[in-house]
Amino acid sequence: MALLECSQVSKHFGGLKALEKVSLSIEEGNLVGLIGPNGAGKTTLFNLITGFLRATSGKIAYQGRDITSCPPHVLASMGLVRTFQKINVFGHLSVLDNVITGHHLQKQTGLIGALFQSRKFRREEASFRRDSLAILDSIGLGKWENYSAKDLPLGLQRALGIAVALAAKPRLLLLDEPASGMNSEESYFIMELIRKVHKSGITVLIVEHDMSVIMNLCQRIVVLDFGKVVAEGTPEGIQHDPQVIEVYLGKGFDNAAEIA
Amino acid sequence: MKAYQKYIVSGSFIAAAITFPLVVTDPYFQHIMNVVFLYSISIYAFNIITGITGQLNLAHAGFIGIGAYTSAIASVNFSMNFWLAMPLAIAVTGVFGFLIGFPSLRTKGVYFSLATLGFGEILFIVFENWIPVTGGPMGITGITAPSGIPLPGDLAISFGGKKGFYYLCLTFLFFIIYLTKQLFRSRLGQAMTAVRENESLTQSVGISIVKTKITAFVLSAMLLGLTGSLFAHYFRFISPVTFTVPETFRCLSMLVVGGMGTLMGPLLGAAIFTALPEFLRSIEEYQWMVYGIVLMLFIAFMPEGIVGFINEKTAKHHSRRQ
Repeated sequence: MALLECSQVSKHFGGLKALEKVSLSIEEGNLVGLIGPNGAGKTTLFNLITGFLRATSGKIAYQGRDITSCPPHVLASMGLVRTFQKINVFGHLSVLDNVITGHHLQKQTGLIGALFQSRKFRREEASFRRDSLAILDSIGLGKWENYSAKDLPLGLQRALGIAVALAAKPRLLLLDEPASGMNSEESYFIMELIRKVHKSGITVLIVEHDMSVIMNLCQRIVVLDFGKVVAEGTPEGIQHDPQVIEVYLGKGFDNAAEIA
Repeated sequence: MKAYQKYIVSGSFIAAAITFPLVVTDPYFQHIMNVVFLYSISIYAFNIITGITGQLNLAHAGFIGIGAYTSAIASVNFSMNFWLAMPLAIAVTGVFGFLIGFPSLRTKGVYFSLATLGFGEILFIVFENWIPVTGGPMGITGITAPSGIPLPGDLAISFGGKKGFYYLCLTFLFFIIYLTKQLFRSRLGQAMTAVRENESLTQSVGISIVKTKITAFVLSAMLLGLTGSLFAHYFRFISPVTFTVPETFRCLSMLVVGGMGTLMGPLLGAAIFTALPEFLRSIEEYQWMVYGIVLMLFIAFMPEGIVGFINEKTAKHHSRRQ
């Protein structure tokens, strides 16, 4: 059974068919890339899977359970966690507090415990602090812990966004254009980070514009265009798929494969 | 500031607060302090929903009114003493918080503020026109002072006078500052801050936005119920003019000037804005203009408020291992 299974999912905004009968399945442990030109419906599909939008028709199943109409915070509690393309952090909080906040689902003591500073509360607080620092260290943000998230450079904010998502203990992590707007050095850093995350046993679905990132990282690639899946396969296969070349470059390029 | 320096500073403030009415025996100054404390408690409540959770609640004064009227009616019509009327006021205001919060928190940002503005105005109209219950514009008189606590022998702790009430308020103020401090460390408080900072990200780490907002709103309302009850039993007379929308904006100014979402901002803001009119007595008719200018200057040049500004300047930007 696939970890995530989208079957015949459509999303219409009025007359606009953003997604039309898209089917997609992701096996546990995969690192899957989702590509396509602007407006192909990648982010819409992301929003459907993570509960930020509701599908017009079709069904999305996660771990065999129908999640088509689950709200985002419920999905997060099931281990389906996403990052965002734009502002991805709690800007006015310190880097450390960002990651501690990401641990919300694992926190058990409430306000009463905090008021009485119960032993359980103090133990929990110390352990989330330790865990958060470990996550920050593992992605190279350790020395920034006291900075406000908004003061970090863009590349590090993206990394912090991933750190916050990791704190929520995902089983399936969805990354929305993690390398957009980055220079090559920064995007290399993010790529290494994603590889590390995947190695730690988390299934990853990644939407990306940057071809080099996708081609280097992913085991399997799905290509969307005008709300439909036009191709699916390994990076090599996709690079030589005539339909994909047409989508990206238009018709009439004989040596298009090399350009792509 | 090092940890021990912090303890010395806060310790001396607490000591000064406890000894104040023993040193300053002039009832006028004691009264001013009581008003500062009453305002502070309400601004701390404001801080929870608006400063920490980021939802501008303009029904603020209306909620204080619900607490005050509940307590006053319980005291005058049902001859309950303060210690019964106060929890009742807190509970009733909390219930109203839920009833008003549930529909209005489905809207976002400005729309939430407008919805609460409407509720605030409705509450004022009810206070002024439901004459059989609220006494209308004449208000309610003859509210009893908080009853004292009898001690063995002939001794008793009395809260009736200015000094007694000072200590009563100070106790609640200490509690509410401690509550705020621990809130920042708690699961709920961190969820509230997350909602203020970034709603999408908040949901994606598993925090329910609706639940967090409603909890914050009800908690804030309950504390406003406490404020209203204290207010009613201190002045022993209430009327609708105290619970108007302009009063909400006055409280908002205190919160903004002190520092939204900070621990000590509400106290500082309340102190400044309560002391200010005392100094502005001679130009009383212009005081609202002064408030307006002060508020504008702060929003333009120091939107994080005095305490927020100080925090930012003294923030530590170093790692634990350098």
